[in-house]
Amino acid sequence: MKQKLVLKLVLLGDPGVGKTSLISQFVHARFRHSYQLTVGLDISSKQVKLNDGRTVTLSINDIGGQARFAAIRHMFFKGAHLAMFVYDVTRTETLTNILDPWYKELMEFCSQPGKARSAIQTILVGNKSDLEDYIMVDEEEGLQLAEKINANEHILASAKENIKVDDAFKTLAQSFFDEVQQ
Amino acid sequence: MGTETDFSYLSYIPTYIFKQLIDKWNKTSIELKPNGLLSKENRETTIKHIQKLSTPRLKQLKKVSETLNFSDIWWQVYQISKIKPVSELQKKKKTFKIEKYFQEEGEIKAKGLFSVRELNEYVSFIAVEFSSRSTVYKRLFRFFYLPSVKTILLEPKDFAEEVLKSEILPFITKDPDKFEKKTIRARSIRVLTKKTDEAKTAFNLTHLNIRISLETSGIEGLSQIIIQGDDVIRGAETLEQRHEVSLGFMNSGPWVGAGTKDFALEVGKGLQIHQLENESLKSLVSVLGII
Repeated sequence: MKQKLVLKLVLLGDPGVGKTSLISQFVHARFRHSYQLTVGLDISSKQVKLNDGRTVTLSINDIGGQARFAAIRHMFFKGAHLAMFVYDVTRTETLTNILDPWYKELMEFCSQPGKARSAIQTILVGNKSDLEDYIMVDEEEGLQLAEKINANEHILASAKENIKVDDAFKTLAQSFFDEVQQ
Repeated sequence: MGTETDFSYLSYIPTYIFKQLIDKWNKTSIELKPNGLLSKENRETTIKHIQKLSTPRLKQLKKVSETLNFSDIWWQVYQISKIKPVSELQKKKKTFKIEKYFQEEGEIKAKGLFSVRELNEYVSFIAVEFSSRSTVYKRLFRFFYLPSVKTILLEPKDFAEEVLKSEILPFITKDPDKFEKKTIRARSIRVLTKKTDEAKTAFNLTHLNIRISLETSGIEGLSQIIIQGDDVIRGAETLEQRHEVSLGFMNSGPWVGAGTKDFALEVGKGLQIHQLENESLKSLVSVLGII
């Protein structure tokens, strides 16, 4: 019997950066204009084809970005293989907040003692890249932060226009297997 | 009871231009502070000299003020290359035929007259006046030319872009086909608040507009937050520090509009110039150099 590969993915980032929208676009090819707060956690799944032809199922955990969920969200980090840090390119602080609290919080629960790099594979996604006139964050700033948090990639995406959304999820899933092979 | 004379039109004339005109007309030299003809320091001197002027001179002065009235204009910014020095442009007045602009309106016998006024070492004002003797027709196209930052500002109106491409660019650049409209973006506004290599100091913003999108707020009802003050960035930071709170609204959306006492920038609109005093023009050059 063929073994089914399931990877747990958590999305982290400030409220309103578009975590739910990215998932909705990736999983259901849909975009909602109005913002609905994610209460605690939402889980969805989708299969992704890897470069070698294998298929992996992503169990996608959408974690509410509001401060009131801070006390409980670490519970959802347990067993995560992948993390997607999401910021909004039209709001600079959402990028700086990736380092603290998001990255810091994830590392508190997922870092491996004695190892510089966590086993969890990460990617940094700048969402809302279609809003060209409203972009406040330089791509260079995103790249620098991605390097700082050891993210595998920095991708500018748009959930609304479906730009690089699939790329972001596939790159992240692929990075897990690339790391395992090393 | 006599009606009070309205001097408000004088606020559009920079002090140094007024001084040049009065010095020339009255063959004298007047002293004015460079902060507006109707400022507290200058008002008395300005009005004293205005009252001595003949009617034709007053008309001339009013025409200057009309030409320099920019209060409602959102200038479009164009980047150009291989610029020519202003001295070269001033050598001659240029006239050109403008019939081609009115092909759809029938035959109009008119001419265009191109003139350049150097406002200071960084900024020149270019006016192109279309006028006709056969019909009552007058039209003014205005541009600011800033060679140090390879920029020209255009007043958006019918034919203005055509006049820029066909008449102005061949006159001011060696490569008239190479130009690009610069869009004002939120990123540019953010840069204004930072100390950079180009801008030795950050600008004191007197207003900041923050766009709130539906995707962020969730419901309709709030589309923009506007903050105002002498220095809104410092003001907001200090308020946060003193009260140990986070003013979340500062980061609730992109910064889509900002301004100082000298200028305003707005995403999708362009650049507004509030005054043409020397310090304001220097400030304008800095802004255009970094956006």
